[in-house]
Amino acid sequence: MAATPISDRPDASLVRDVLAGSVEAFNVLVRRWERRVYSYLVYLTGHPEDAFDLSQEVFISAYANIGRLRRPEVFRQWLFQIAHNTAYSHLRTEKSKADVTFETDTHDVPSSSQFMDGSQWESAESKLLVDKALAALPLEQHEAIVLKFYQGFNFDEIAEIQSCPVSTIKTRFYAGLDQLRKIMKSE
Amino acid sequence: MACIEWKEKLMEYAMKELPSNEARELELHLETCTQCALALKEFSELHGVMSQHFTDLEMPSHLVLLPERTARAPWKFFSTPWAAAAWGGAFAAIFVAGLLLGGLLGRGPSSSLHEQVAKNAVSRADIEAMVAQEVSAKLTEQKVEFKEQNEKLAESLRQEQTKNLGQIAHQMQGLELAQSAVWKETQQQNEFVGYIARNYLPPTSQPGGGLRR
Repeated sequence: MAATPISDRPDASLVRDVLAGSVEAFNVLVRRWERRVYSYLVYLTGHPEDAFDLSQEVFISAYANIGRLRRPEVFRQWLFQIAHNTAYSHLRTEKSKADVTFETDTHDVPSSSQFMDGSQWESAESKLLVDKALAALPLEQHEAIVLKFYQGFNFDEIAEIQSCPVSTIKTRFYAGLDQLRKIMKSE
Repeated sequence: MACIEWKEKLMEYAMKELPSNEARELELHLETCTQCALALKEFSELHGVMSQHFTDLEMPSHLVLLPERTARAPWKFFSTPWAAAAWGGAFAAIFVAGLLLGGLLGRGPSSSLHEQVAKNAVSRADIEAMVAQEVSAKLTEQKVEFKEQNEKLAESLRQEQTKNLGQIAHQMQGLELAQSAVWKETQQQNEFVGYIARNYLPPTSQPGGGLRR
């Protein structure tokens, strides 16, 4: 029976190889997750250039700290936890530069028309409407929605990434979704 | 449970994260509550819209990968089988080099590695003796070489001096001939002056007679 190609092996198996010293295994993980991490960071920061640099930081940090990953099977959420911390650190620095309140101010959200295929949408109007509604949300609510709808994490995993109780995540997510619903309904 | 308390449950239900027992309870409530049923419909529609909203974005380029040869997991470097094999090979090479050095010093091959070690074939004293012998041989060789060079140099100087002395003697002969020629010429001039004085000058001017006034 032929051995499974390294690019087809699950994350946990690759993580174990990285822990044994395989650089190739880590590079496979980079190629597998770079686009998802980059997109998440673009949605969070609103700046593709910053997101690209931050993505590189995320994977460097992941490589430097992978020895601390106790459970290889949760690599994905561990990686996004690093991405979350990297993004928030970056945004705090940016916000302090601009001297703007971090928690309540609306943040940059990339216009999806710049990055997405318009054929995926029912109309450009609804697309812009969602962008506008997301931009009006506090960052934590916005992030919870991105992690849920884009990355498909469940509430327990989002709680781990955002380092807060599950009940807070549910409240945050519900508030964000309710706000979106109201904004989109009023338009 | 009042409708306000169902709101978060509705959201969880729409996200398919509500536990089955609570989901059954909610479904019973929805049969009688049009307000919650409407809210669920809106959440479900929003779920559909949002699920399509986020897609993978195009990256400007791929991220830089770690180099295969130089980068290693630092926490594993000293415990990898390759590192262990490398260390073992290095120690073996040093040990074999020591044995070969012992053989070169004239001790000859020993019957076993243990005997080699027991005899301390490459002791510090042996190495010092070998170095001293080598240095002495080199010095002797250099002395012979210096002596030959000195002799050649001395011979060269002697030849040079002889050549120079010959030139000086030749120059002195030339000088003597020149002096002789000058002396002869002076003699001829004196004789000529005497002849003129004797034959053409008046007698008062003769030496020894004096002029009368």
